[in-house]
Amino acid sequence: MIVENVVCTGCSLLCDDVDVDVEDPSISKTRGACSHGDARLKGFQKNRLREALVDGYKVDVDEAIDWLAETLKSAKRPLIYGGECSSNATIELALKIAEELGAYYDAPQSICRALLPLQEELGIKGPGLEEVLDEADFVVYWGTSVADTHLRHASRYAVMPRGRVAKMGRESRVVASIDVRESMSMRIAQHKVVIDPCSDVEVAKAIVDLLNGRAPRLRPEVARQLALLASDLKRASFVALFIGSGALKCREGLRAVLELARILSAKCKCSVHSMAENVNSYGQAKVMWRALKTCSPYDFREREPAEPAQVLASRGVVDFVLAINSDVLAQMPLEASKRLKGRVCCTTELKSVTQAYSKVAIPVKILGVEAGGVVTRIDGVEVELKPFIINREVLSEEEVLSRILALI
Amino acid sequence: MGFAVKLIRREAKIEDCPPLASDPKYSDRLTKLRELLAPILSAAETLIQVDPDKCIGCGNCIVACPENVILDPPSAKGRNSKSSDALWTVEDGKIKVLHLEKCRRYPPSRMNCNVCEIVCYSGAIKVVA
Repeated sequence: MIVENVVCTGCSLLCDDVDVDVEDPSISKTRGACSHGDARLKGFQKNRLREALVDGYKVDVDEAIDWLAETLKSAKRPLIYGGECSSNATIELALKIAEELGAYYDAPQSICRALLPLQEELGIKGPGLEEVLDEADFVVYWGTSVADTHLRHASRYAVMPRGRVAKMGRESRVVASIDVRESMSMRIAQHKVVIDPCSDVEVAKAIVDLLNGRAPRLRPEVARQLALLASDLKRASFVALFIGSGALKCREGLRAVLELARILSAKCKCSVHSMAENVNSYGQAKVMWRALKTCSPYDFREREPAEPAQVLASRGVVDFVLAINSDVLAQMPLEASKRLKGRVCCTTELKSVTQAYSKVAIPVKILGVEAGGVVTRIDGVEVELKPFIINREVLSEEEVLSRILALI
Repeated sequence: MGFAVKLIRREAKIEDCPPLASDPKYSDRLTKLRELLAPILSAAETLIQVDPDKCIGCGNCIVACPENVILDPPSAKGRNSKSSDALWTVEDGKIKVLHLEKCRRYPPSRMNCNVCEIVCYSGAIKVVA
């Protein structure tokens, strides 16, 4: 059976034009999906968790949910972690569970969590990806290599397509790629600027200086490249700025890049987008911001921002973790992971390090394939995922968390 | 010069020049020539080599290709090629050529277009001559 216009959950671009051949319960062929999307859509059956486990032993899912709820209730300082690969409704449920338990809540570090509060503070956001496609004539990739992370970004939205104003596609646009290394995505850029690590502040300020006709204080090689970039930037009518997790290395750098965007938006149209690392990293940040007005780790007992999860785990503050479809143990330093071994439970689509060391592991439906829900694209557009394979053997993550919430 | 151009265009073979192929005094040159022509002979009629192992399925080539967007207008807007008339499409995360004969480089027109090579992130597309 061929299913047309499926939303691909291979990355946070959420391409909605992918066709798949379904041979129940698997996908045998994809058309239009990049290699990341193809791997996600065709590969999920190979590595999925099929049965609920308690201490490594197969149990009934109802029993596992009861165990999990009981363990969470008896924990003194639990941590609810994740949401970057879950639907918005699931993230809301995770926050409710954390609130109910007076727990900590955190998720993997993400450019979205750093950028969203700054964008709200400075009032910079700008138009969405469809407008970028139609009008953007200057595209900046800052600290991101879309050729490694968001493979269809240039061909689907930012560079190649012929838009209403950018009629000639790539010939109507100038592309600049600013990164600490020569990345694959620099191949399509006219301005390839390799900068020193953590020099984002100097580089952003240098561009501002050049726009204002002042000479920048940088090493001559970079200054020369930036002068060429700035002269093209002055002629731009719509600048689309895509910021990746490379900019996270220097928090002040992020503010400087947004300051540049603010100055640009006074001269021309300007949009700023974070290149979300996981399928719903942007949704995770947005839901958190909507609920708590912060994207920092949060302590629901004290009702204030908390230390990051790895710090809490390293110090032994946290005595139990519920991982929401997130490989928490693989993301933490070894010492913190060791402390949490056997003190973790998880809901998960696929087998993972966290699942292998979990006290309770509950399998869930594959988001965007077997389970529906709403997720958020990198420009803030909410995209509805529709299930197209029926799986009655496992519950959706939303159902699992709803039941846990009811029990606690 | 004419023979060299014909060799590159694959309109002639080395064997069409009997002295070159049979006279032992040209054997070194013959070996060198065979080495030089090997990538051309292994490429398609368009003299483009596509390495599926390197392809990441980004679709840059499909959207940038001027001929493909004429054959399949939605791809001009960055959308997935769905028409069976399209020059190429992405299948299973890799590029798949559907109608090579529609490429601008296909004989006899042989336009010197290499947009697909320019926009390819991974170097999977190579114009060999």
